[in-house]
Amino acid sequence: MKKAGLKVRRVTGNVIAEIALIVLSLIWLVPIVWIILQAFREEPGAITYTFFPQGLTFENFVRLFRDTLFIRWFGNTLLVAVCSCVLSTLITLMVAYAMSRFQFKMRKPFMKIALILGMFPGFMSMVAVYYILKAFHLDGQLVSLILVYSGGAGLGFYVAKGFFDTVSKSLDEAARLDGATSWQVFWKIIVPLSKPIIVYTALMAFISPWSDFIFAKVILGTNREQYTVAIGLFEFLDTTHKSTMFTCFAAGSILVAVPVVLLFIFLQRYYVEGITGGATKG
Amino acid sequence: MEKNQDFTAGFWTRLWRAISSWFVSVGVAVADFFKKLPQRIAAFFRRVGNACKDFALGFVHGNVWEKLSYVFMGFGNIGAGQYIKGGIFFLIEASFIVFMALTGGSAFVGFFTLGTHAQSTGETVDEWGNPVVTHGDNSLLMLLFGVCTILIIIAFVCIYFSSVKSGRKAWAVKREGGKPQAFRREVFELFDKKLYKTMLFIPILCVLAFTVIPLVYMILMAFTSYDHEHLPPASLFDWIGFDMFGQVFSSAKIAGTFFPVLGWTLLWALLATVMCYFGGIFLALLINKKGIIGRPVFRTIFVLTIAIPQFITLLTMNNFLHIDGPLNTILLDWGIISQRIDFLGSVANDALLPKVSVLIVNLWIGVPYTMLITTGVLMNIPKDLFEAAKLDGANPFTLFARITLPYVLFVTGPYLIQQFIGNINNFNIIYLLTGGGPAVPDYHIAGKTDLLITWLYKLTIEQNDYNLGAVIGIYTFAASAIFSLLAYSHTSANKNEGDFQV
Repeated sequence: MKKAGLKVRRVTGNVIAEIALIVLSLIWLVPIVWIILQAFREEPGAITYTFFPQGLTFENFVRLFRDTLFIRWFGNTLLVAVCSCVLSTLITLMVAYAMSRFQFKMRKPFMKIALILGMFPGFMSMVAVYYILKAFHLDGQLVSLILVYSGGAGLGFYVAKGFFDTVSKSLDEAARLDGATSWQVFWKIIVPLSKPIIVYTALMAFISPWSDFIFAKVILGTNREQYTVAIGLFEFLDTTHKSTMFTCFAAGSILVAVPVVLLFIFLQRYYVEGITGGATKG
Repeated sequence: MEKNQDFTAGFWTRLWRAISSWFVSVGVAVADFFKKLPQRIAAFFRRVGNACKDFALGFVHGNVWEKLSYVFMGFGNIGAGQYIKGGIFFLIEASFIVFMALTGGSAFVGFFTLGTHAQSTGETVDEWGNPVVTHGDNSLLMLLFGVCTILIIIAFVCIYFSSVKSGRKAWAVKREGGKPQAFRREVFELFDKKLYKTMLFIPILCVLAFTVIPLVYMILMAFTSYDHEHLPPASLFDWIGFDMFGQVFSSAKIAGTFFPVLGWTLLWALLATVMCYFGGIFLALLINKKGIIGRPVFRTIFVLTIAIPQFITLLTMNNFLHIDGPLNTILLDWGIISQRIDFLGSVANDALLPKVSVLIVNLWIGVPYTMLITTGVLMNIPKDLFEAAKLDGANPFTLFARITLPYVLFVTGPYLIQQFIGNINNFNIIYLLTGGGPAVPDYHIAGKTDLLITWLYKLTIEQNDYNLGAVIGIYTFAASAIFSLLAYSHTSANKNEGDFQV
């Protein structure tokens, strides 16, 4: 009797949980479905009074490619993302390795300073960065965006350092007995063993240019040719364009979101390992 | 064993103990700092004194080459046979002197004056009688170049001392009959035992250029009169000291904005963090419940919102919640509401509705994130803890409150701190969703949902009141720095225990 009662309780519990999950996923999906529908909406205008569009069309995508600089922006963003991904990953790994494997006088102070610097609101320095770049005539250039995105990577070494700390030091020592230098140990032992953290760092660095627009906007200014997708699409929504361009914004958003989402879902495991690794090891 | 018992103690007891021990440790840390302060200051001066003595004695006891190296950098090394290294030192000194003579000197002076000639129009006329604009000094650039020059001077002084030291070291080796390291050997060391120097060189340069110099620059702006009335290059600005810091409290309009915005920022950070955290744990428990069908599908749906770039989801939400937007339409069609609701712009009740909307949208974005993180943590909870508690007749709520929650809190403590800081500085969600609005007339260029960070943005980028913006930035930093340093020092004190748990 008692056992059967327990079973009934568990089943009803699961049914309730299942229903709750379905309701929650619907809530989570509604805005996403809505923006997808907007991308294919036939009737113009920013706001429609119906949830579902009256007619479907590919015209928004055609307009996006034909009338706007979207393809160019997409290319720009891809370029920035790839470059800053490579550079920041290299910088992060090197700093993390130095912090994890070497004992030197400035080690502790450097780690504390990095922690404190990371607490300043990021774009408090933005205006200054802009003037520095301007002094070198680099404002409005994609190169400066790459520099800015990867320049801060030297401070974000905590997660990777925590990971390197878990790689056994006896491996280093064994290699060193065989005559390897620290440089060789880094490339031949640490890097091959650190795939999860490398993927995590690279993924983070790759994704951020697709969504950052504050830095991009300040640095690129009015140089529309050099815009990234985020500022380009944001421009569609200002008061003068919104009524005609909203559906194009939706179309562009989907084209940006699909590759990023695929990448993310594909590499999800590393992402979770990266953040929880960082969280548990502080 | 003992720790395990401590771990299963009542949740509230544990929470209370954690909070009180946090305050105790904060108190101890502060007391410690001040107790050791005289010692530290004394130790610092002793070190400086010793270094000076060493420096002077080195000159007195040194041979000709070493003496020369005090004036001509690198001569100590050259005399000892390290030609390349000495040559590099000498080149550095030469180029520093050239730099200071050409630009550095005037840039250094400019740092203090911030320009003396304002741009003027009409003093002279061109051949058609139109007034000519005479370019004046640009205070902004002078401040920037001044900061850079000061950094270069500091760097040079460091190199100078290390060159003297390096020359003496080479001679010390020589006196003992050895041969100073060959240059090739030193380069080799840079890839072996001193690899950290090589590896840190470029990152540190980047951090200096893109973080430290800009920050110093912005902090200095807080002490100047750089606002919309003093905009270079048209006019100059000057040092005004701590005036702006006081104005935030004394000027009625600014103080009347600063304190409410600060209050809302802290409330927002607290609510946003806590709500997402518990929502995420709840969702993770739900999704990982034994026997749930379609787990991967649910997971993917929730992960979607993390993966889609935030500006897309937020701008979508902005339109979705618009007064004429689809959500209002749906609710109207279903007869749930009788007239359209302005989710993001209503000012009633101290703009309660926009604030709640922002928090809920944040929940929509943040919950899957916590879900993803806590899933792994939940799997790691030792099963025997549950078994033992169940044998004692604990119900699911007790299990959650006494085992699951404490465990998860324990492991994800640092993550929680990060989230809190991140939320204080959560620019995107406010800027893209409400733009800080609804704007109210009794605030100084701010709206009811503005955080300090978005207010800072409006003050600087939109209003050009850079000095006020810099002051707000410094206060924001102070708030998050004090909080997290204390919190981190507390968690690091518990580090061993944390290791035990994982």
